[in-house]
Order: sequence, then structure tokens, then C-alpha cells
Amino acid sequence: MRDKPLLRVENLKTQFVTENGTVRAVDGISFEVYEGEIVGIVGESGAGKSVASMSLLRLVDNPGEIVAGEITYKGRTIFAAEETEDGDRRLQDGVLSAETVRQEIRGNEIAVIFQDPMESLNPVFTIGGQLREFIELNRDLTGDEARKEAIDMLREVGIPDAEARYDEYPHQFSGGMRQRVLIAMALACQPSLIIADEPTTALDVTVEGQILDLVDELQRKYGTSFIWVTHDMGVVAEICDRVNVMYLGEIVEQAPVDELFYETGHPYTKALLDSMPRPDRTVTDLDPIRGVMPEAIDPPPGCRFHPRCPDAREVCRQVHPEPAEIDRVDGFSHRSACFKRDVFDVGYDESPPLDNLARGESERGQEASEVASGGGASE
Amino acid sequence: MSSDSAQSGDSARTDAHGRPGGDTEAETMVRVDGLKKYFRSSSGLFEGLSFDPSTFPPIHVDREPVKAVDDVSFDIRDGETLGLVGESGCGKSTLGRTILRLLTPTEGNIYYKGSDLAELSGSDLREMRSDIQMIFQDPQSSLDPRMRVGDIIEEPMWAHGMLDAEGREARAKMLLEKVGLDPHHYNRFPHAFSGGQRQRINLARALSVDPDFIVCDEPVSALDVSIQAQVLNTMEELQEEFGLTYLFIAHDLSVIRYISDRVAVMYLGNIVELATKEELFENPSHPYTRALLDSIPVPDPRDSDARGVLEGEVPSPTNPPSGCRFRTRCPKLIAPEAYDLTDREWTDVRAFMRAVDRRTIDAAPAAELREAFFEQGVPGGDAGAIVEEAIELVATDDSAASQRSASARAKWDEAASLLVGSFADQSICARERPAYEVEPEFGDGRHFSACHLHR
Amino acid sequence: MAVSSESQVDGGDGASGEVAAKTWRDTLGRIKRDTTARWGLYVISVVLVVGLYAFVDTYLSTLTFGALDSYTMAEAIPIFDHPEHLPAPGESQPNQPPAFHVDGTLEYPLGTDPEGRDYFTRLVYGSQISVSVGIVATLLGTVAGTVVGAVSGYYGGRIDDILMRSVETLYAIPGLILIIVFTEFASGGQRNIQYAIIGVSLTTIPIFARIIRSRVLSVREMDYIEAARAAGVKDRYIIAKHIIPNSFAPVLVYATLEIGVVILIVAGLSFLGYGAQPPTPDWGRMLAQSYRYMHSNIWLSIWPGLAIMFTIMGFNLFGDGLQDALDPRIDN
Repeated sequence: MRDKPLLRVENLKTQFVTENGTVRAVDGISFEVYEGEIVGIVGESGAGKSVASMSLLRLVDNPGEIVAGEITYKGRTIFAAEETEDGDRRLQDGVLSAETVRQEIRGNEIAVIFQDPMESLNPVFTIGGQLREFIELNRDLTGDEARKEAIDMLREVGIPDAEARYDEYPHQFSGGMRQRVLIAMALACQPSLIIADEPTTALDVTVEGQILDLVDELQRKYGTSFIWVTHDMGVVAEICDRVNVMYLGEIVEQAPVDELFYETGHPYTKALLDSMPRPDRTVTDLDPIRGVMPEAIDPPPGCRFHPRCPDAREVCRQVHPEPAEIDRVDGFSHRSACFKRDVFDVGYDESPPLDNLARGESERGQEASEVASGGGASE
Repeated sequence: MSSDSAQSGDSARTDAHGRPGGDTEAETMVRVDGLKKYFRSSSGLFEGLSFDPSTFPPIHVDREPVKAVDDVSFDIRDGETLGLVGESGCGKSTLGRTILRLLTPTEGNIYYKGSDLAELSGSDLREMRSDIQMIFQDPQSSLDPRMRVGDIIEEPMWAHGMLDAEGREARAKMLLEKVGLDPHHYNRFPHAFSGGQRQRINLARALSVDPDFIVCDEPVSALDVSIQAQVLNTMEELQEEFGLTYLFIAHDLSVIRYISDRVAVMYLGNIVELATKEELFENPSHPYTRALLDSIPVPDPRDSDARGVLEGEVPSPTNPPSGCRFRTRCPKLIAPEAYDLTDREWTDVRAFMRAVDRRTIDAAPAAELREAFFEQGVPGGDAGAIVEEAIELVATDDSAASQRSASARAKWDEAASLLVGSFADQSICARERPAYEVEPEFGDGRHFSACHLHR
Repeated sequence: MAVSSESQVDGGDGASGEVAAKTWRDTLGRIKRDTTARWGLYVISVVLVVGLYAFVDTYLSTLTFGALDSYTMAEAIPIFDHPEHLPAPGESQPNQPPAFHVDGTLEYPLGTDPEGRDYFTRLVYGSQISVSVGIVATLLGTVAGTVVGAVSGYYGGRIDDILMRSVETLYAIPGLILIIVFTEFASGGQRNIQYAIIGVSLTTIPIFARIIRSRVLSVREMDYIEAARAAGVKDRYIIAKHIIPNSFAPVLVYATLEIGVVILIVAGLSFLGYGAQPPTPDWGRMLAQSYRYMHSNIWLSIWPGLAIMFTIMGFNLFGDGLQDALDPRIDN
């Protein structure tokens, strides 16, 4: 067993109350982040990965609310609550106040890098001014000291001629350079954990490569931990140490990166890998996952992936699998939420196979039913 | 011309009309020849007008165009999928739209089945549009939210006076089924559909007028991976069934590798390499293609490719570098012949030149600079003298003045232009525009590469 | 519910996507649910019903009696058809106070004017001019402004420059002066109300053109516009079928609000003698006539003032409600 994790999340649930019902965007996820590692959260859009990462800092806006779970960071409880029987939540004692989270945790201890660097920077202030203000606010530096620190940070993230570019405005920077500025801002207070929400998605591949290199280098130098939210399995393979695969608000598989790709435990992960065109070899036939992810407002019973799963059996529709350890590598567990594994003793082998999408039924039939449900909501 | 596709340099121009034999396995459907598309940088009453009190007259009109597509030539063969790949801003979308004549070319010809689209206008152009269609990137904005799916699909037929109302409806329903949607969705509005389904509606609209050629502008890049695969497969099925030819524009090399027969790589308005898929991915001959391929994150943790191999930023398309446009970032920039430098020496000089030019280093004493860049010692001869002069200019040994002062900046600029002027600008890469044929290793298609390494 | 809960949760669609995904049917539903808009609609309905009644009644009377003056118009109202209600010449009771006043009578609910005409009747008939002029002038301005703005925004370049610069020239002239000069010249000194309407609509063109143009500038960048062009659809159909329907929402909101403003302008014009001509009853003209009696009979000024306020409030409430209904940010 490793030493204590830097961040531990247990049974986190975040919900959005809408006109049409409660959207269970994040529905009971648990994971840990240890010091100095990069943990990936990967999934398709709508899987809840962004909401999950924002929940860690209690940055969920109305109508969203964290309803249950426990988030512990360096022994301090960022959030802990239980769902009471009448659906309300009850905060537990010893939870940091919203004010403390804002002042002491956000920025100082846990920083965030967003996908769109243009939206995170104010277009009417200079890059340097914004960085300096951020440093002045969060560290005991003022005036010229803060300015010097800001220029050093810009240099640190590889912005050439930092002194001259300090006085330039965000629109004078390219997308890659702006993302570097955001990384500089995130690093400015030397946090122990950085949450990166799709930070390279908007960038070109060659620029993405540069940013990944930079993150690798900075991570080695400062030992910062990262939570890397992405939809790109390629990026996951490049940069992550351990990975959480999310599907419809749940973590369906959790494994060290090599395990995930080579000892894939969950059919969803496998299907995702099989449906990707590869840059490194010519694939003649892609095997797409049939259908689309259902809405989190009305998830399927049992295993949430069963309507699209090629291995689904009757039991998958009836029983809901919780992630269970199927292997252990270098002290880290490999968890998967699929009954195919022996650790679940629910009679998967005896259960009759399900006649679902993945097995013959035409794609069109499914699309029709999907539209019917989607259309029903919209009319 | 189908053989020397993408030959765009001056050397290619000479044989642009001579059609070398032996490579006529397919008819040419589209032939693009010397196509240029420049944009005026601004519009408006006082477009390009600027005021500079230091000159006479103080007001002058400055109309430097953005060279989005600059002298591009290639062929698209009947029934194939030509992948067009490049980073954002390289001009690939502009090229696609110019071929479709949504934009008017600045110069050059676009032959479609023999007739020159660049010459057409007005109603002739509109008529031709039933043969060439387009699929757009953004599933959100490509369908009019206030129109029903049926009307959206029928619009092109209506514009061309195809069939009567009943016939159009029947065809729209047939197409809905072909693209994998339920014909009963005919009366729905676009917002009832998911991104993947909207792209299918897009496909149905494009197919409604029975085109032969479809320009696909990043049709799957807004979709999730699993949906991406579904749509790609449908596109392949439709290509087979309707005998379509695709120009498939994308930035994602994986998608390009899956769907294309041949691939063209674009950089800053030029095509730098064009070859069959297997050849291009397994035997890339242009340093830019290689850099692109190295940069893609491979979904395999055991693959430890280099990444972030490219330094610097894409130059402005308003004033692109002479000769080879990639030369300012090329890791293989060829040494100028004037100096007798060994490979090792040239590598050092090149690194130093770029560091000074991009200001990626801080001013330091001469000795430190020498040590950082020239471990083996500064080369001798003329080259060495120039390097020494530049080191003198940027070094901080004698001047106690602050590095932020104007004079330090001026000296730095002087050093940068001295180095670039003496080395980079003297290279063959700067003096001549490259265009070469490479012997293919995979398959027997032609392999075009715009790199002087193959001279 | 145009936006799927999924995309909402992940913050997927941008605001433009959401507004685009809204059909007019959704909008109607929102208006029905919006209290402000509903109340505005009630008020507007009352004013419209009254105005329509007056119009139909006048029209029918014209058929019966030929041209009417204001006296016979009052006679023609069936509900006041009772002999006592008629301010017969000679027997008229000028300057009666309203009914709730100690000296008032129920015969004349709002009293009478200095010439002994029933003020309520005149107010009812006055609505006809104010409201119809407000609506017609705004409508003309909206149509002209929309066409100018849409063409200008869609084509851009020279056409845009020429159209917008001429519209701006129009904007640069103070509204009231433009209307008065236009009416005076166009009508050859007759000061006909038709010319005042055109004059008023001229002053509204620039703002409508600017509003729609700014919207068109973003709509024309949408891929579906390019798709229509790629399909070979003619420009004028693209403007009519795609550009205008998708740019129209803000104009609609503004037009609703503008009706109130135009009613006010027309009232002001009548006050100055450039709107409705005697003996046609009109709120603005009633105000103009009454201010001489401000000290002797304040009610003469209050009633038309209240009527104008009530009507403008109705249109403003509805406009605000409409804006909310069309606003993508206020999304359940």
C-alpha cells in the first residue's frame, strides 16, 4: 500500500435539478490522487467528467448541487455529506466553509486549467497584469517583486521574450501561448494539485505535443499532481499514470494506464479503444459502439452500459455492478464494474445473453428510439 | 496531371500540361492548377488606410493580403477519397471552399470534369452546384434551426428544380433511410437530434441532388469517438453505393488514415507532401509531415514517440517565408553552401540562430552563450566570424546597461537579422521553392514531396 | 426544452446554439408562461378591442350616414345610443366633471369637454388613431429596416457601406424635425396623417436596420447559410428563408417596445398639430386642446394622458416578456 493519498474522493454525487427531472451527472464515484501523479478522467461528452472535476472544488453552479460523498484533501475535508432519506443532504461536521475553500484551497492548493484559454483571460488587460494580480492576491508579493515573479513564470512555461510579452494582450498570443499563460497562472501559487479540464482539446497536434512536454517537465520539477480530464485516449496514453474511465456518471474502470490499454477490464473501455481510428497503423474496419449514450436523467437499470454492450447478459440488466478490484499492479488496484470478472459472484456465466443493440438489432431501430425519447422531451 | 499531383513549384509548372503516362488507373475528376486565394485583411470604407506621421504623405493605403491558399495544384481521381490534412490556419478549409466556388479564387484553375469552375459565375455556377456538394464541420450550425428536416434535405433539389413536391418528399425519405435515420423523422426540427444524427442529415442533404463529388470539411471532428466511427462507416457505405468522390478535410491524422486513399499535407497555404495513404504514413518524406506524425498522441502507453518536436510558431500568412514555407521551423533546414560546415557545426549554428531570432534565451555573458550552444567550439571560417559577431552583440559582458534598454533591444535585433540573413536566408530552402518526386516504398502511386532534402 | 440535459450539464452548447435551437412554437409557450408578457398582452388586447370596435363602428356609420363629424360619431355608438346621452347641439352641458365627482353624472362617465361632447366616447374613438398609427408606422419601419439591414449585412462590402451610411444620415437628423419637415413637404402643407405615419416610420428605419444587421452578421457565418449557397439557392431566397427568420427575434422585441414610443411621438405630433386633424378625435390632439383648460378642468388632460400611459405600458410589458422568452440565458 502506498502512503496516504493527496486527494480522496468517495461516493461523490452531483445532481442537476431540471424541469424534466433530476440529472444524475455524477453518480457515486470514488478515486484517489497520490502525490506527484497524473490521474486521468476520460469519457465521452455527457459522461460527467467535467462536473466531477469541478465538484472537487465545490465549483458547481445552480441548478447543480453536490448531494453526497466525501472529498478529503491533505487531511482536510473539502466536502462531506450524506443523503438523508427524504432526499435532502446533510453536511457533516468538520467540513471546510465555502469561504475557506475559496481562500485557502482554490488557487493556492488546487488550481484549475480550462479548455478555452481565451475565455479564461480577460481581453482588456495585459497578460502580465493579469498574472501579476493573481500572484499579488494569492502570495505575499507586491509591486516589482510580483512583476518579476510573473515574468519568471512566463519564462518558466516557455514563453519567448517574456519581458516584452508581459505587456501584451491575450489576443496577441496564439492559442498555444495562451494555454502556457494559463499553466503559468495555475503554477504561480505552487499548488499541490492542478485540475486540467481538456486543456489541449482546442489546440493543434504539434502545439498539443509542446504543451504535453511542458506539463511533463514541470511535473517532474515541482512534483505537482494533476487530474487530467479528457476525451482523448491518445492523450491519456501519453501523459497519465492512472486512469478513471467514466460512463454516464459512473467510473466503470480504474486502472494504471498500461493495464487499461493492455489488460482492459471493462467492455466499454474495450469498445472505446476499438472504435478509434489509429494514427500509428492502418485500420480497415472500425467497430463503432452501437447507439449513443443515454441521458443521465433516466439511466438504464442494472449496468448502465448493458444496452450497448456486446457481452451483456440478463443479469446485467437486473443487477448494478459496483467497481471491484480485479487485479493489483505496483500497489495500485485495477477496478472494473463488469460482471464478466469472476470477483462478482452473480451468475454471469449462467445468465442468458441479452438481445441488445450490439447484437444484431439494427442501429436505425435504436436511433429511432433515441430520437423518440429525445423528441418527447423537447415537445 | 494525375501523376504529378500537387506539384506546385516552378519546376512543376513546366510539365503541368505534359501528362506523363503509366499512371492512369483512374480518371481525374477534379484538377486544381495553380490555385491561389488571397484575402484582403480588412473591409470597410477606410480599408487598409493607415496613418504614419513619420512618413510623407502621412496617410497611405496598405493592402497586404493574407495568402490563405498560395499556388496549389493537385488532382482528385474518380471514386477516391483524398485526405487533406493540416493544422488550423493552414488554408485547408479555404481550399475546400474555393474548389466549391463558395469563394472566388484569386488565381488559378479548377477543372471539374473538364470545365473550369474558376471561370463560371451566376446561373452557370448555380447549375454546377448540383454536381458538387459539401458537408460541414459543426453539426449545430449546419442545419437551419427553424426548418424541418424534410425541408432541409429538399432544399438543394428545390433550388435546382428537381422533381415535384411529392417526388422530393419521397426522395428525402429514401435518403433519410440511406443515411441511417428513420424516414418518420421527416417532420422533426433539427434540435431533436444528436450531433451524430445531425451529421447524417447533412449527408442526406448533400446527397439529395445526386452529386458526384463531395467536399467534407471536418465532418466528424465535433463528434465523440464512438459516434465518429459510426458516421465514418456510413460515409464509406454511401461512397460505395452512390459512387462518390470525397475531398476529406481534417486535422485528425487518425481519421485521415482511416478514410483516405491518398493524403495531401498542407502547411501555410502550400501542399508540402502528397502520397498514397500507406506511403505517407509509413514513409513520410517531408519534415513537417514527420513532425505531425510524431506529435500525435498515440493511444498506446508503450509507444514512446517523441512529441512536441516542432518549435516556434507558424509564421504569418500575410508575409510567408520565401522558398519552403516550413524552413523557419524545419529541424532539417539545409546548411547554406557558402560555408563549409560539418553537420554538427550546422546543428549548433542553427540552434543558436533560432534561439536569438525567437528570443527563447536570456542575455548572458559571451562565454556562457558559447558553452550553451557550441560545446564543440564555435566553427571557424566565415561562419564562425558571423557567429562571433552575433555573440558580441547579444552578450552582456561589457555593457552594464539594463537588458531592457532600447539599445540592448536594437543590438539583439541586429544580431538576429545578421544570423538569419547570413545563414537561413542563404540556404537553398529559402532561395528555391521545392517540388520533388520521391521513389515510393509502399505501393506504386506517385509520391510528391516539397522538400529540398530530396533534390 | 430544446437543450438536452446532457449538454447542459457538460456546459456543451454555446448560447448561440441554444437560441438557434428555439422554434417559434417554443417561444409562444414561454410567452404563455411569462407573467409580464401575459399582462402586457391583456392590456394590448383591451386597447386593440376598443380601437377595433371604434373602427368598425365608424366604418358602418359611414356607410349609413356618409361623412361624420365628431358629434354624429358619438351618436353612432350603440351603447350610448340612449337619447339622454346625446349632447345635442344647444343642450350640451360643457365641462361636466367625471361621474365619481360630486357634480358628475353617470351619463358622462368621464365628463364632457368644453364643447359638451362625451369625453369617454372621444377617448374610445381616439384610441383608433393612436394605436393604428403606432402599429402601422412601426410595421412600415420594421419591414423597411429589416430589408435594408438584412441585405446590408448579408452582402457586406460596398452595398453595406452605401446602405448603412445612408441610413445613418437619416439617423443623424432629429426625429421630430424630420417628421415635421417630411409631412409638411410631402403633403403639400395639408399635414395629412398618412404622411405623418410615413414620416414616423422613416425615423424608425435606422434603428431596425442596425439591429437586424448586427444579428445578420453572425447568422450569415452559420454553416447552414453556406450550405444553402453550396446547394445553389439564390441569394434572395437565402435572405428570405434563412437570414431573416433567424435574425428576426431581437427586431420583434424592439418593434413591440417601439410601438409605445411611436404612439407617444404621434401624440406629440398631434399636440403640435401635425398628426390627426380636426375633428378626428386623437389622444394627442385631445391633450393639445385640453391644456388650455388645465386650471378649470384638469380631467381633460388626465384621461388622454392615462390612456396613452396605459397603452404604452401594455406594449412595454409585452416587449419585456417577449425579450425574456427569446433570451437563451433564461433557460429552465
